[in-house]
Amino acid sequence: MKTARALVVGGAVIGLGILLAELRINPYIYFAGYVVLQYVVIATAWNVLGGYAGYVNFGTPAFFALGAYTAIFLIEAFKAPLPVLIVAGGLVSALLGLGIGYLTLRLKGVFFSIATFALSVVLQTLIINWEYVGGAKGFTLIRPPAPFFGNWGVLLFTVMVALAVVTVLVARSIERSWIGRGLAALRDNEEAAECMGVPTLRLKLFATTVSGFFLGVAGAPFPYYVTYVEPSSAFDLNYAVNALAMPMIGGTTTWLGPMIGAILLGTAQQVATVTISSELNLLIVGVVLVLFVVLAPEGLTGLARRLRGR
Amino acid sequence: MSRPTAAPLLEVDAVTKRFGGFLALDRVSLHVRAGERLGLIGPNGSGKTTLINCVSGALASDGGRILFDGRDITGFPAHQRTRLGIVRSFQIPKPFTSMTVLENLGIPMEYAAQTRSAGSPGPATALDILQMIGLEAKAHLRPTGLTQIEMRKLELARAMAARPKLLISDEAMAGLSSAEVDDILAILLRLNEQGITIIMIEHIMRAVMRFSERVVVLDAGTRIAEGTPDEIVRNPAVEKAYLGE
Repeated sequence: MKTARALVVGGAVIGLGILLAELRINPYIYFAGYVVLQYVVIATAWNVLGGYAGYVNFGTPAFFALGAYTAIFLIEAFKAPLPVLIVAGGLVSALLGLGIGYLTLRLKGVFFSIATFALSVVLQTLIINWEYVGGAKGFTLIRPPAPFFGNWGVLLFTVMVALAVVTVLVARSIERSWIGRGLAALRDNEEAAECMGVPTLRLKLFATTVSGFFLGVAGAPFPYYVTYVEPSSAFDLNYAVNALAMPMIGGTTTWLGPMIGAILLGTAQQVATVTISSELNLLIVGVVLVLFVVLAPEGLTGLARRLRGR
Repeated sequence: MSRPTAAPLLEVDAVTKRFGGFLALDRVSLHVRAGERLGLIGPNGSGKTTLINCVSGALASDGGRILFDGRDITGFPAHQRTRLGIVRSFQIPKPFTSMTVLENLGIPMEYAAQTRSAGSPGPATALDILQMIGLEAKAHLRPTGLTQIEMRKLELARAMAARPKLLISDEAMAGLSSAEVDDILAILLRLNEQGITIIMIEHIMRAVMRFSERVVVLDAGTRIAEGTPDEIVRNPAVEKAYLGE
């Protein structure tokens, strides 16, 4: 019953997105809205592993860029259409996710985070040296005419609305299922969870794979969005920082937290970029993150729960 | 219905465990019959917890076999052993801190108890278990608000929720007052009456000797004695292990 309601709400949000797309307001709104929604996908995907299972992935750029570069490869090789790029980008990143899942066998805590960060550096080096997808020079995409809305900015915005809705719905259903409860148990205490019958390795592999999938999905439309992709923009450290900061601000234990964090922080960054300076938005992340870690370590959703006295 | 007494519920056959060059367990063998209360004692560092870790699957043994219910489980991961019915509690309580006490019991119920068909002994619902153990008033609290003894009881309650056939209680009483020890002891005896086989690891001699039908003594990774509590207290080898020459 509640799932049906969530699906209706999700459908309504997509409908609203299409309506907004048809309104043709200031084009910058779609451009900025895309980035905020992309962060909803990234933060929510990151949180499946980082929040539910408690494994802090600092290699978000690797997954995002792998989605983007899978798309570039498929555009170069087959002129593949956008839906194919999104699915393929997700699947390739999911494979990488499965790979880091096996890392959790040996690496815990900060060592896992360092390994994922190293993974991002290694992958970036590989891409820089791969001429086919542009190498260090970068890759320029000449977009065909947009199939819908007559405008890529509006079209991509609508696509991102749909992707964000799907990601949030999937994260929500994971959280409320036996898988989510098992992940919470292993986050609290992995040894105790295993001894209480929770197949911890299998659940961790599930979490890293799903998380990787949606991080790749977020990156797949990126070449169409920017039309010029170079390794340093696709592997931007901002993705690693934001993917971690947004769920921390919103609250990591529920599906709602990363979404709220991404919308608030993402919007603040976009506003700051326009009104003050594009460099300032990193400072905002830093200051807000420190404030939250000190004042509301369980994020906004945790704060709300505490204020309600529960 | 009842198992022939000849076939033990748990059979540990020449299990060896090394940590680098240190031989923590040297071909240790023991068996536990269904419904039995076995005490496992030994001085600090004698290998009790290592043995339990090998039985529960937290550690992989380097040699020997472990059979449970007639089945070789030597290579099984811990969660599968739990599902078969070997459940342990931890010496230092390891509760799921983000969940309430009741939700803590939900994890083994969902992941272990329900994967097995009915027929395992013990109370049916999480609330029944909390009631039996005396934690029902704390059901909706987070474990961080519990006292030391309540934490130990939660360990036992959570183990119960997995519907064990064999419960391994790893020093559930260390650091408790005398009255609290009696409290835990009464709980364990009641569980045993319901048909659960129990291995108790304990340093509090008064408790082990009162509880156990049979006692196995480990020292420096080897089994040095086995017998009824009365036989054990009179055993010169045990006295030597604890007190020296």
